[in-house]
Amino acid sequence: MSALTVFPDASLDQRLLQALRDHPRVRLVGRREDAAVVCLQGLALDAALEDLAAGRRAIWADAPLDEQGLARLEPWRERAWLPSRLRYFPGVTAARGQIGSPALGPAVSLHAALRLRRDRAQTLANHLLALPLADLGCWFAGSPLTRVHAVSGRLWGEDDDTITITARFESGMVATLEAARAFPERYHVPRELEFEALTERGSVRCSPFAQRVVVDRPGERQPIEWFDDGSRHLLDEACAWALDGTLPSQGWDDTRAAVRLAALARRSAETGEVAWERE
Amino acid sequence: MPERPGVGLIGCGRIALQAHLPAYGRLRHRLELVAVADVRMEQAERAARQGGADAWYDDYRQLLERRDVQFVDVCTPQALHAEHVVAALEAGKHVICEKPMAASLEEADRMLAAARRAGRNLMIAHSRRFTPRYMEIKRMVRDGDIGKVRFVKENERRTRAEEDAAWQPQPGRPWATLPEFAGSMALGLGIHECDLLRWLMEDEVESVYAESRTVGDDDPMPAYFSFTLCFRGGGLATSEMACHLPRGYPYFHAMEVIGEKGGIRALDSDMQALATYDAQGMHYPIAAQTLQYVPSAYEREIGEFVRATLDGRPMPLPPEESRAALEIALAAIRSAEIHTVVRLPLQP
Repeated sequence: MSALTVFPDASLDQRLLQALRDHPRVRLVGRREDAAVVCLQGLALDAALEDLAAGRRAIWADAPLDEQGLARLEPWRERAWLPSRLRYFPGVTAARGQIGSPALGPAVSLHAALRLRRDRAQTLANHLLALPLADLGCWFAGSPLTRVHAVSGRLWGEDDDTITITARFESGMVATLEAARAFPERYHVPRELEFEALTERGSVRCSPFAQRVVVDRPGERQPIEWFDDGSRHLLDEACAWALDGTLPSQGWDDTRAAVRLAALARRSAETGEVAWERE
Repeated sequence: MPERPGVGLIGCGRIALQAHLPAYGRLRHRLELVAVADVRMEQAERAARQGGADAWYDDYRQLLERRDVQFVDVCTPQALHAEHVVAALEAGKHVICEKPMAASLEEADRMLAAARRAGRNLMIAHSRRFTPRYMEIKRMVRDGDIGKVRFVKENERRTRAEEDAAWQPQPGRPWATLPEFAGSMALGLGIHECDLLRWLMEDEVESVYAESRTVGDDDPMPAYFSFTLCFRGGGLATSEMACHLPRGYPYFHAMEVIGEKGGIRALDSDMQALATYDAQGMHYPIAAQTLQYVPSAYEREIGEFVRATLDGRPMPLPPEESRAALEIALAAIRSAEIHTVVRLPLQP
């Protein structure tokens, strides 16, 4: 079994870096130019473009791209993969698998709320903070977007730190998406993300980040991951894509749909009006 | 006013049988249920026997003629509220009326004008305001525990209504399933959220955006409704409601209030007192019962309305506030129909 040589960009968070270290088909390399694949995160668009121009592939986890950024990557779409890591959480994958099943029927709605403390994602614009939720909405709807309404607001600080989005899809599904990232450090956020999909015959609820045990000892708090966070499953697909030529389950068009929803949300929040997909 | 004033109840459907009549039973030391009325005589008799009333009518005007009725409780569909409330006020009765206040702002204004003309009290029964959970949240907001409120969310899940007690204008079609009587779930159910969000935000709504949809092929009424409210002071509020879930699904309320100094979360799913599992799934026998009927809320709203009237004090929930909630709900309905943001005040 051949190994995928990966250079972990400095932007990577610890969970993804650990998953890279642990993955049996991944070999980490210390120099960018020795890697077949560069794994990036965050706002590393220029670095990604340099790698792609140099002939390498790029896996860009949790890419908070706007439409302009995505357009710059478009010429490299065969070699750039921009997965939303949220899709690879076992609970999220299982929840999506229930949609459309005989027991539950098609999706009526999806409600997703992301609650972050203010020390997280400080540089992201509101609509980009909501990008993973936008992807979740598009994925659960499984149909093209019709219209979006969004409102930005301020919870705690001087600037807008919250966005609420309502998206309607051609299937009729309605997604209500909330992202807020301005809770003070002391504020107890029991679940960073939770979502609930209502279907014609029932519902699916999931709190993917809450699936862990926390052990409190005097002077020490030890979080123990109960389920992994999705990085491993994302990397399985990355290896299959880069080594075996298998198309990943989340493709370029999926990423573009989520970015488009976020862009319409920004426009709606700015104008105070509904933003239509076909305008 | 007699020591134990008399009450007449108009409309003997589900909310009367399951909520108001039990409340009168617990208030019998202070109030006497004298008579009930319903267009279905057999339903009126059933309610009278359940509530201990001696008289029942199929014409509410006979009830209003009784001199031993000082208070009237209107539990009819909202499309009939204006007719029944105005008639009761003009007959000199004090009136408590189930939510929503009316089917239109014009009707609500007629009711307010009638109360002023008659010099009688009118209160709309928004039970959530008298439910301990929401009362405690309001107390924390009022006392400044979480600072100025910036965001409120209340989501609600319900099963398809069991309408065995409901009036059926057409055979086999309960009134709540007919748009000409029920209007929209934003009125019947969402009016709770419209009132709660405005009450907790302590501000007036500037604009509304809403989406709705039907579920299934044979239901003309939307069973899903969501809306976003923007307040004058910059606050945001959202609500998402569904009432199509299968029988046995636990009632589900999820409220979140975020202020400048803190937040409040009230989730049914985190507050279940008892859960059981079997082949059919998960059940919450105690919590679901409590949340469906909130018996203390109905007793409290009726009791406080009567007590304020007898003491000559202001209404615990002034009807003008119910009109404001109605305006929000009507704006949401319009927004969902025309797919655009609707600004308040509503233009006729």
